[in-house]
Amino acid sequence: MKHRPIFLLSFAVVGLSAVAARAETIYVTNEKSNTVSVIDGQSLEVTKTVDVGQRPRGLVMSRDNKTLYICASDSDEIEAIDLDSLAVSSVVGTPDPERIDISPDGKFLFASNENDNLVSIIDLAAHTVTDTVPVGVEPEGMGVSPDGKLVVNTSETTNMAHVIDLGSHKIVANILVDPRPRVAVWTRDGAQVWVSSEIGGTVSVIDAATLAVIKKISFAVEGLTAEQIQPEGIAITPDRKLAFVALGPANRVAVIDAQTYEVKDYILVGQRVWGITLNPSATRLYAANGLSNDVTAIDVSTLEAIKSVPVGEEPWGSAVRP
Amino acid sequence: MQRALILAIALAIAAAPAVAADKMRFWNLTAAEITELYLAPAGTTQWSPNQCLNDSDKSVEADERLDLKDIAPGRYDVKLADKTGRHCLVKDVAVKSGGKYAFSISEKELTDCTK
Repeated sequence: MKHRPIFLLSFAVVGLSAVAARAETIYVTNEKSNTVSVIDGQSLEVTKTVDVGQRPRGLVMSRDNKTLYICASDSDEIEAIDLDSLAVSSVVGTPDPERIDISPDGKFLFASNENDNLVSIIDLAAHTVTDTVPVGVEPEGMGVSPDGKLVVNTSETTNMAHVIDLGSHKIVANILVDPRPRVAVWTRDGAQVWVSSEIGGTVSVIDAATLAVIKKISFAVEGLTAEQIQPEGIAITPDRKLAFVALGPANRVAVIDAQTYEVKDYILVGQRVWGITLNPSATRLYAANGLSNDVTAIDVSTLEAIKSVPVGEEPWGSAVRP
Repeated sequence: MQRALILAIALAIAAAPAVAADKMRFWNLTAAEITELYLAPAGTTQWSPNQCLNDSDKSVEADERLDLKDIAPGRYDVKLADKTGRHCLVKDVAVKSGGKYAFSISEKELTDCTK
């Protein structure tokens, strides 16, 4: 009898955990089928498929987790999905947007316009592009600093990370990285930016204070050539203990000690893994596999793939609603 | 005369977006970077020049697009080589105008390859 409160408490904790797991929803852009797949975080099954504009690629969650913003690249616009009704609406027209990120206050989006060599700054309330910043050739990666003062854009052909001051909308630094930089991700503490280089086969770690590359991380997978290892998506745990890097046609996600930069493991996933996303609690990683048309869910505590979820054609990336 | 001029200008303005939309591009949905891409009218061997030479880095990476030169809409056989050393032939591909891309080739279509 005296153990009953403890038993009830345990039951309640288990119940809360189940509720938390059930509440998580994953949204995946499928760039060939022009859809977004909605995956239930508990069952890891697709529960709905939403038709969106053409070639959906980059995506980001609103700060209140009520809206998903996506780049409909071939429709030349940013679209919004209301996550309660799954209604799709146009936010603003902007040419060939590829990736987006959102300001810490949730009021602005920053989009790379691949064919126009621009970064567009979008006022979400006004539904307008308020400014454009010329950058290098084929801009792609977009990462807003946690303090909202800088945005880092990568340009695939110029092989640079461009650091844009969000006060002046001017480039304050151009940092040379290895060929075909794809993704720029800030650490939660704002101390570093990690940039993946698809052709270079490396990840450059940039110190935010000096805006200099302080480390280049390389990868080697037994049985694969260097050309098959093409770093793309990056995800870093909020405590900066672990980092994950999608290795494209190597069909693996690398696990890195984000303090020592040592590659600890390679997790086998689907074909041509591209965008990877941690859930907000950093307990799961979701990897979009462009050629096998599925998403691999990975348990971060065990570093094991737990399920492969079939989605639409050419899944590009994902976002998680807690 | 003035009416004809206005009509000509109006027609030119109306035609401009159509020209822009008709830009012919190939979308590489295979797993590999393509280094050579040739098109010939279906069933012929009248191969075009290597279309990859149209690109600044002379190749088209996976998931990237490539501008096509002197290719009209129609049905084509497509011959390609990629960085993994594969040489592949894809027959009777529909090449269309008016969209963001004229045609794509995905990994599952590469069934006739040598290495």
